[in-house]
Parts: sequence; C-alpha cells; structure tokens
Amino acid sequence: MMKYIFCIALLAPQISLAGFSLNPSYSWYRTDTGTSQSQFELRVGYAFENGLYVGGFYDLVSQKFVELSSDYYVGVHVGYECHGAYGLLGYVVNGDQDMTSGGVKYSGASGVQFTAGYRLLLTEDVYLGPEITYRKVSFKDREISGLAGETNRHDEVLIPGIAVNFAF
Amino acid sequence: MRALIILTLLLLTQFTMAQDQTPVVENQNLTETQEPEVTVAPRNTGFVFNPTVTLTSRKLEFNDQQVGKMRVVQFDSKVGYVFNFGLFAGAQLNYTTGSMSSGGAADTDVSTHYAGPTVGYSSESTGFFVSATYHLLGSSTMAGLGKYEKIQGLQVDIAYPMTVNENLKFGPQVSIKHLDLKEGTSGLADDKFKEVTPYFGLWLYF
Repeated sequence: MMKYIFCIALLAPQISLAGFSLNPSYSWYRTDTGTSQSQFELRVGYAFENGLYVGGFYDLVSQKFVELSSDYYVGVHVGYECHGAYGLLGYVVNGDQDMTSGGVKYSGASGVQFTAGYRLLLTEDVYLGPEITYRKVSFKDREISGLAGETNRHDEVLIPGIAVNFAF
Repeated sequence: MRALIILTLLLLTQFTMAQDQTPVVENQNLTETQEPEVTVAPRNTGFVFNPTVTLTSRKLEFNDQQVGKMRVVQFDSKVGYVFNFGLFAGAQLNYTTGSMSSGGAADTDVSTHYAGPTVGYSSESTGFFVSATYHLLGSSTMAGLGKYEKIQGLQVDIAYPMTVNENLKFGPQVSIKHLDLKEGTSGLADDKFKEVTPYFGLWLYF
C-alpha cells in the first residue's frame, strides 16, 4: 500500500502557489530478514524568502522493527533552509499506532519530530536528497479488541531515507 | 542478478554519454587589464575515499520501562581510483554495529564486517556514481548467540554525489545487498541477508 501511495505522490501534479509547497518524502530502512521501517511524509507549507518554512505534515509509517505496526501521525512544523540544507522541527498533535497482531491499537499520540536533510538538484524541477527523521511520541489511549483504556506508551524512532521534492 | 543487469545497463548508458573534463574559460571579451576567469571543474578522476553511513533505531517504553529496543549503525567505505573515462576500481570495507533487546532482557550486541573488490562508474555528465562490490571476506558476531565466520555476496551502490568544492562531494546513496552468512558457530544455521538501505556519503578526491 505504501509503495502505491508513494508512486501516486510522485506522479501527481504538485501544488505550489507563491511560496506554498506540497512535498512528499519517503524514508525507509529494509532488510529481508523481517526488519523494516518506512515512512511516507506529505508536507504542506509556506516557504519565506529568508529561508523560514512553516507548515504541517501527515505521516504514514510502517514498522517491522522491534514490533510490527502501521502508524499515522499529523502535526505542524517550522524549519529553515540554507544552501540546500534544511531542518524541520515538528510537533505531533495526533496519531494512531495499529499493531499488526493482537488487536491492539494505541491512539492519542503527541510528541516531537525533527527532520534534517540536504536537497540536491536532480533535474530542473526535481530535488533529491538524503534525509533523516527522529520522532518521539507518547500514546495516552489503548484499545484491545474493542475495549478502550488509558496507557503510557512511548515510541522513539530514527529513520533514514531519501527525500524527493518538486519545485515550481 | 537483476541488480547486475541494471548496473550493466547503467554503465553502458553512461559510457556513451561521457564527456571530456575541460576547464571552462568564461568572458572572452576582455580588456588588456582583465585576467581571464577560469572556472575549475570539480574533480572526477584520481584516488577517491568514499565513506558512507546510515543509522536507524527504535525504542519502546511502557510505564517508563523499556519493552523493546533495536539500533543499527552501518559504515561502508570505498577506496579506489577513478580513471579519466569514468571507470572506478577499488575495494569496499563495511562495518555494522548494533544492539537489540526485547522485554526486560539484556541487550544482544551485533558486530559485522565484510569486504571485497569494487568496480564502478562515475558519470561526469549525469553526476551518478554506480558501483558493484563482491564481498569475499567477512564475519558477524552476535554476543551470546554465536558467530558467522564467513560472509559473501553482492552489493550494488547507486549514489548521486553533489560537488561541495574541487575535492569534496556529498550526497545520498542507495545500497542493495544480497549476502550469504555461512559457517555459523554455536548452532547458527546458514542464513541469507537481503537489504535495501539509504546512506549519506562523502567523496574525497586526492
């Protein structure tokens, strides 16, 4: 599913109006011995001429790393870009973590997220670059087979990847 | 096998697109007092040292108690020579360190290294640097579980380095590895390891 969403994001027309941008990025780490992390992130924001960036993000995460889960996170972030290098400091305002087995679902995520990367010009309008994301979130609600309750779960991840960006 | 075919096609394509590296002389309409401005092209030939790194981790806590952890750091380094027609010949040494644990169990530390000869192509026209390494030597130690005495297999790297200055480039790399882990001790059975990993790399030309 993640692969198809990524392909759609690459092929879809990108929206950009006077500093507004819509950028997909994809990060992953995968081995065929049962370990993988992948993250598709869609960023919507406004870039000022002085390099400041303000926006929001939506993440779809697949984890087969320590535990198996499918996650989503939404949040806001501010950042700065200089000579192609950029950093984005974000705050996760909501998110779910759906465990692959056991009928367990964690929700009510909140926490911090930091992304750093470097944008390289691939073609006239397409940028490619290395990127790394750190996220630490806590979940306050847990649902087991439909039975809801409170929880105190923390998830801290570091995911490397290659980001693709489009310029207009 | 598929990776080899793709690499071969890439190399053939790049050979046909290779161009001479010639300093560009700009602003030909000069007065007598002006010096010609020479733009020196970035290095694309000579000895090159190419260290790359990638890291990933995850830590889970429940009620402030650690319930699971995994951390992997990989250092892959190539060294070799890039000829003026783009061919790269050299070797690669890889080192991986990591640890994992689940529940309240103690960490299991993993240390792996493997090395082998490398051939590749550095495309001046497109900027891509592609290479293939066949790892001949290697071992992997998993604390408390045993050791693999022999690691062999193929690694294909596709990188897009960007010029920082005349002798330094920086950029992303994707590595595809198909490795066989053999001669396990303490009952470790032969295993295969496939991986697709993004790296961050430097290219230092001498």
